[in-house]
Amino acid sequence: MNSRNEIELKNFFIFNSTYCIKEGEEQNKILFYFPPTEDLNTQINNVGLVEAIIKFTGNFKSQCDTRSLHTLKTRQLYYQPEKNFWMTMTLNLPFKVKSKEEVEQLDYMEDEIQDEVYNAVLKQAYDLYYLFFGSFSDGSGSDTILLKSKLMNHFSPYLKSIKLAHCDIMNIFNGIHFLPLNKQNFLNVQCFINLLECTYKFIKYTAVLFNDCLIWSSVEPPSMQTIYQYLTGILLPAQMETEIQGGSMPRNSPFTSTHFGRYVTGPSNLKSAESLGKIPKVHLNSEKSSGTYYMILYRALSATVCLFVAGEELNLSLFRDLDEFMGPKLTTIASDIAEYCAKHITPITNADNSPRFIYFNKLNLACKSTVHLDNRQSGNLATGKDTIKIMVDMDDQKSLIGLSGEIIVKTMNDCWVVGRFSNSREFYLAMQQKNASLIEINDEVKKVCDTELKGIFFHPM
Amino acid sequence: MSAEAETNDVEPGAAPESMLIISESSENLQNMSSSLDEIKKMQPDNQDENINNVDPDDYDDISCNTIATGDDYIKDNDWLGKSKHIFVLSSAGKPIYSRYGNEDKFASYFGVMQALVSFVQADNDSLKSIHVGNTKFVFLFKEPLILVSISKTGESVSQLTAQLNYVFNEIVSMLTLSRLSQIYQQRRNYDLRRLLAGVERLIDSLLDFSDSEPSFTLGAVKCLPLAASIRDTISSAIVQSCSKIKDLVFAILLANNNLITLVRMKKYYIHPADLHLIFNLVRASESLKSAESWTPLCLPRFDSGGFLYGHVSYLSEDCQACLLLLTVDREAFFTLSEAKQKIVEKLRRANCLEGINESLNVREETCAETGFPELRHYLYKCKSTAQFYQPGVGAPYMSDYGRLLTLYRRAHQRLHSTSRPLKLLYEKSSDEVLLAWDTKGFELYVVLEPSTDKSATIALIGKLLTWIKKQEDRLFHLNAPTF
Amino acid sequence: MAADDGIEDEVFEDQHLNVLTSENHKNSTPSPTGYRGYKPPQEVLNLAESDGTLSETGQEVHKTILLGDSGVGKTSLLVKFDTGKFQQGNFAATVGIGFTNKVVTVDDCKVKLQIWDTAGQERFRSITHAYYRDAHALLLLYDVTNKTSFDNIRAWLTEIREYAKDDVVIMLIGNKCDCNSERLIRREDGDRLAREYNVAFMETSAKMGLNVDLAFMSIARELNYRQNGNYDNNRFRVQDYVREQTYAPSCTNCNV
Repeated sequence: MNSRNEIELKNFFIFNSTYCIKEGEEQNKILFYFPPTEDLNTQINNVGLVEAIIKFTGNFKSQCDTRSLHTLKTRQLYYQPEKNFWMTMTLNLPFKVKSKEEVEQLDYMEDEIQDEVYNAVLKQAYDLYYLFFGSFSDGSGSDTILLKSKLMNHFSPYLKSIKLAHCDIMNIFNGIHFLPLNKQNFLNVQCFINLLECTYKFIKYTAVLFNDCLIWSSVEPPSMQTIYQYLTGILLPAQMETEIQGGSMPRNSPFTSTHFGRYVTGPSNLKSAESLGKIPKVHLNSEKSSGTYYMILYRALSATVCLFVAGEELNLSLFRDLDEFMGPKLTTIASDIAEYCAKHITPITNADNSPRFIYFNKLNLACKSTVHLDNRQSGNLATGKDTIKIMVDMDDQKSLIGLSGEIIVKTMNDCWVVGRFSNSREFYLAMQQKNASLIEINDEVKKVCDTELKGIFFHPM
Repeated sequence: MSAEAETNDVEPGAAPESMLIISESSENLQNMSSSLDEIKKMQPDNQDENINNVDPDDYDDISCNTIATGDDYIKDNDWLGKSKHIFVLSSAGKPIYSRYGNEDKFASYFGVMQALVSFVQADNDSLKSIHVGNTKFVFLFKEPLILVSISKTGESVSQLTAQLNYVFNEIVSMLTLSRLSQIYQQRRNYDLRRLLAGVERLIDSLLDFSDSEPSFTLGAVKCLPLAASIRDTISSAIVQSCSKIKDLVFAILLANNNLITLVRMKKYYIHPADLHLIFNLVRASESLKSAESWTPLCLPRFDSGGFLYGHVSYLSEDCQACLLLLTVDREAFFTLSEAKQKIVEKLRRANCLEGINESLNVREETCAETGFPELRHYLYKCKSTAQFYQPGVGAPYMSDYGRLLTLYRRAHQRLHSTSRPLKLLYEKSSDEVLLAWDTKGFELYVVLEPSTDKSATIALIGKLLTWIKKQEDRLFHLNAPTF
Repeated sequence: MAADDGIEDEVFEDQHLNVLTSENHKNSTPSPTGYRGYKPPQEVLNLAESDGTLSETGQEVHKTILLGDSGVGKTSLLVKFDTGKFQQGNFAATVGIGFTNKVVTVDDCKVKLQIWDTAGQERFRSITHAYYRDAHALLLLYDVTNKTSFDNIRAWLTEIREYAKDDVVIMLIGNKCDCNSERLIRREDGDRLAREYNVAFMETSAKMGLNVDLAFMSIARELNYRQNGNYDNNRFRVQDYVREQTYAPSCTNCNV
């Protein structure tokens, strides 16, 4: 047997025990099961084990609600997003083959899977379903056929798209990369949005992105988090691929150098379109208002505008109108920002051995990383994976050290990892410096904080 | 940081040879050797052991527990809210031990625990732990027993598993592993509580002991501070009084959960885990104070297959140090009783009893009293001898030593994580600064005032190591005497 | 380190023997003790002296074993007899076998009892069996408030038959007879069982000190008799003696 280096998805299922009333009808409680090829008996048994575990452990009072099961070979994570609805994900642990006295032994690497990371993955999976389909209980009604088909439609492709091996601390943060803009560019964006919202009253919320960074959003943070993950993780990468294949010049727009705009969701060709095309409806769940909105995505150069439109009868002329309004303005804004970025923002490279950091602010969800070389969970990293795992360990322990504190560790291969926590902000830094002392490391952290996180307050350490 | 390590050529407390097997504390206690046969083979005229022969008629037939359905759970909030439960059950699901409450009352829980274990087993896998928020359910399947810990203490799975291994070994130390396996081979539904009457007290004590002490986490023992001359005199008194006695494997003198000395047969070492069981036996058995005792005792790491026989007695009314003479000869009681009298006589004449009493009566100095005001507390473990030292507990942990232990356990876990071990951990919170350092020769865990800055911390650690080095022959047992 | 220093060893052994054998030497050299100025209590000194005289006269040591289920009060009975103290509520199970030497005077003779206090737990049976065969006397205890411990007496007696010498002195003891409200075994039940097996019987209370000395003293007396050659009809004698001497609690409950 060969070693298995990467985490694998063993199964994934969603069930609701209250859907099985009679003995012998256990299959009724299973709403979704992956892989679908698994025989029904195994499915029922696996769900039964989860039910037993939840029931047994539920007796012993616990403070919070994250749940997982560790076995020698697997890891199973449980998430209850709604009453009686349970999502379960089982992962196969990576292993190495070790020879002991000529007998081959499998060495399962339990610590490769960090519960915090995959609990977050499970929650993200639900949030994305919610974004497009609303709650499980809304979708079920009197019989489960409809819910089952929705779950099938969503999770079957989604499970194939998760890069389990590359999930890490970024899944826990579920943060948003903001584009650090100068005042003028930022004001331009804001003016554009204000004018847009004033002119078209049916637009309830808007968000503007440049590449995979957010510039502006009026959507409430929890929903924006999910939308951001969807756009940057799934939709925009696919979009960019088609753009690259088809050339960056959209063929459906009037060919002027001042108008590069086109719809990503909505009519694909405004001239010849006879229908609106596919416009997704999303469920926004916020304190102020929750409800369903059409999500219209419009893109010019590297800038993307998301419009959330409620209950309006959408028609083609409206889209043409919007296109004429947004196209030239967004094109100008996008090229100005591109110019600014080229001058002022240095891209993250893997060039040197300089210290790498990850920053996250829980209050505004702002996130920044020089450890990750892109924002796409590609596993393209500037440090070892273990370094990020150490950061996850630190994140997991941060509640134990109070409101503000610092953790510094030196690993067996002389990598230093620092974690600083203050005012809901987390800052991690990793560097490879074999002969450094604790004090030298401290100075280095200070230097990076000063240059990279100007104006962000940390308690003096 | 590493600069300080090199200033000491040999780390404090290190010795050329150790009486203890050097261990990684987090290591699984599975490896059991079989030293007994070796020792017995050295002496051909030994009698056959038939202590492990089990008469099948001795056992009751008790029908298998029906696995309870979830509705049978008894909801006793007080019981369910305990910070750490420990359960032992047979692989057939029969209750053997529960740390709290009568195990029969909670039979449904035992049934479910057994069902969970066997369900996962049926899939060619094994259940290790379940995590629910801050509660960990840790399972250890050691044929023929299942041990379960349900803990809200924040200890890691490997630490909780290590504790369960201790519980298993405590049971083995009373029965031997061979007998334990044999019993269940003959009767799968045997009610082990019959044979373990009284052992629940030992397990209770073991759990309280290991929960309230760093020695189990560190995999080390603490020595009673004694002038080297006194300790050497005690060791030689034991060696002289016992050198003629064949088959004596270990002589252990301890007081107040501290080791005074340990004399061993050449070639044989005692594992700290076995020594912890011995400490626990003495700690838990008031009755040892009332008379000289003679008891079979299996040391699982030494040999899980058979018994050693222990002559156990306190030195005298006026010196509460407990002497254990462990032999493979089950007829040696009077020989050892006589040897003990000789030892006491020698120690009395050499004023050693007085020395032991003085050390027992003196409260250990705190860091502040030793001249380290910024230092709140520390643990120093010398790896090569598996011994550790900790100073007296001062403010602010006087009334909450448990919190300090939690800090140490967490730091120990971080340093010894199987996949991501660390050389150094520095943690600053609003309450304290904690520094844990793992070097080739020693482990050091230091807790300081939260206001201590990093350069002061490093300077302090340098000074502390120098201090320990100066005190090492008092704080540690540096010799490894043999018979 | 003197581990391998055989010569030094010899020297010490000799000195040690001198100390033991020479009364004068012993008396003239006060042995250093744990505390400065500590003097062993008078009983200890007495015991040591009588020890000396006994060993000089070569008097036999009488092995006496306490048996019975776990928790019936074997250790309490012994500790009460040995020290006169009763430790309330302190149930500390005996580990293996506890060993106590006690010298008592009966009929103007010093009798040395070597008392083996066994752990009642089943797992210790195999080790305790080994000591049955050398025993001169057995004190077999049950707890009058614990029916199982009484029911197990027959099993104990069967075991004794199997492992002990035929002429061993046996005394059946119903302990905890102060616990009247919880009593489950009537005095007559114990008495009847004792007669059935032809052994002596009494009820004791280690807590109140009731019949504790008597139990050991009658054993000592019997053993002393036998040593002096009075082997005939001894069994009936000890039973009669016990019956004459036993103080039965006057409360009516006991005889219910």
